[in-house]
Formats: sequence, C-alpha cells, structure tokens
Amino acid sequence: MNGDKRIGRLRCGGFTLPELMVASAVSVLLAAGIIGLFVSTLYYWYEVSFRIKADSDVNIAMNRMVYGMGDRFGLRAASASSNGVQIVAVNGGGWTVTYNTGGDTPQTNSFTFSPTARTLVFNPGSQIAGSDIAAAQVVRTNSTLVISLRVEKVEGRLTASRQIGTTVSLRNR
Amino acid sequence: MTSRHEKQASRRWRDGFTLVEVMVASGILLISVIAVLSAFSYSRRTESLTENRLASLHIAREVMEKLRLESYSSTALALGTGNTLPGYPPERGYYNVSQGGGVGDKKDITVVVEWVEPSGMAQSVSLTTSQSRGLHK
Repeated sequence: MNGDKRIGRLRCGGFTLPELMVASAVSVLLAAGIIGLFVSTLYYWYEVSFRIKADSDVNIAMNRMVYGMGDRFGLRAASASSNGVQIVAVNGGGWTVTYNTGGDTPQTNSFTFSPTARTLVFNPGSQIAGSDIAAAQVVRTNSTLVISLRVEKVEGRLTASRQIGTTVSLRNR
Repeated sequence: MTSRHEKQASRRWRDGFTLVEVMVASGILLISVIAVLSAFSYSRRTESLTENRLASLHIAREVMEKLRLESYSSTALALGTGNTLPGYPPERGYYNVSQGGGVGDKKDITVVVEWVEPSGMAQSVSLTTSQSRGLHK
C-alpha cells in the first residue's frame, strides 16, 4: 500500500516548493557570480585599454615634439646656434620652447606647455600636439635637449599615467 | 513481479545520489571553478607584467637614446659594468659597456631595467646597441 502511494506521487509529482526555492536560489547565486565576473572583466578591460591609450597618447605627443607636426620640423631639427633654442617660462608653471631649424629654408616653431589646460600646443597654427599632459619638461644642456612628458588621464574612477623621456642632439653643434 | 516492481519504485524514490556520485560531481565543479578563477588571476598577472615591461622599456629607450648621443670616448661610455642609469636610482637598473669585436673601434652597450612584480618576482628588460668611433667623435 505504501509503495503504491509512492508510485502515485512519483508519477504526478513535480517539484515541491522547498525544492524549487533551493534550486532557484542556487541558480540566482550562480547567475550573480557569472554576471559579477563578466562585469569585473569588462571593467578590467576598460582599465587596460585606458592605460594603453595613455601610453599611445604620450608617445604621439613625444613624437610630435621630436619630429614635428605636418610639414614643420620638430626639436630634432633645432639649431645649436645662439638663437637656436629659447626656453621661456610662462605663468603658472608652463613654458614655451621656441626653436630655429637653420638651413636654407629656416623654420621658427614652438611648443607651449600649459599645466592648467594640460595641453602641448604647437605653433605656428596653434595645433594641439598633446592633451592630458600633467607634466612636461625641456632642459637644454650644452648640445642636447632633454625632454620628458607625463600623460595622466582620468575618466570616472579610472586613472592612467605614463611618463616617457628622450634626449635629442642639436644640429651643427 | 509486483513486489519487485514495488521495491524498485520504492528504491527510486528513496535513493538520492550516492556519496561517490556527489564527490565526483563536486570534484568536477570545483576543478572548473578553479580553472575559471585561475585564468582570471593569470590574466591579471600577465597584464601587470606587460604594463611594467612597457614602462621599463620606455626607461631603457630613454637611457639608450641618451647614451647614443655620448661620444665614443666620453666617461659615460667608459668600459665597465653595473653603471647607474642616468636620471634613475641605482635599484632601477644598470648599463654595461664592453669592447665589441669586429673591424674598427666598437663599444657594445647594454641597458638593463629592473623591477619587482606585485607577486614578488624580479623582472628585467634589456636593450643592446653598439657605438662606433664616429668621424666627428
């Protein structure tokens, strides 16, 4: 008799309420875990690409300083003559480096760093050579220019910074 | 037959999983969870390594560009090992200058930049170049 009853339950019984609740609780936990992992991976991916962006930005700005913008030469072409390179401080911690390339068709170009705007501006043309520049320095030694740039990017909770430097030799030194 | 049928039905109702089944199942689950989590932490470690390697490579390149501008017989390029990187603390790395072989005067310069990963593992990147006695140097 007892057995018959159980067979009956087995045939038409679905899940009991506690079974369903435990099962759904487990699936909710599992789904929450997977979604959490997905979201943190996504965020992490943004974080990494943000840092790569900072790296590429600082490299582009440095390349523009060294090699120039458009058809204008960069600091690599600066002449070592007396008026070849002039570094003038600007209010607020910025500076302007003006350089003459010498040669048959001399160019006079300049880069201006503004710590408030966090930009590096190339003249003539007022072109933005770099943005998000937190620190920049050009130091003249006897025959070289020592350049360093630091880009700091902030977006929400994400921050990324990257610093690079180089040394260029002046022409006709 | 009937009693056997009843017995089987009864067994089917009463039996859950056996201990072995549960252990095998949870073992498989555990292995897959560990695999996913370790893949995750592995990617984090790889990212940290790549990030630090990139930053160190910038330093190595900067130092190398500075050294390349030195004249052949300058003190910065005196033969020797373990020189401090110009502009960086001694623990950041070192550079070696050795006499290179081949025709003419040649110095081989190796710049090594070191850092320690968050896991405590010491890492380094190096760049090597040669400087010859140039016409004007």
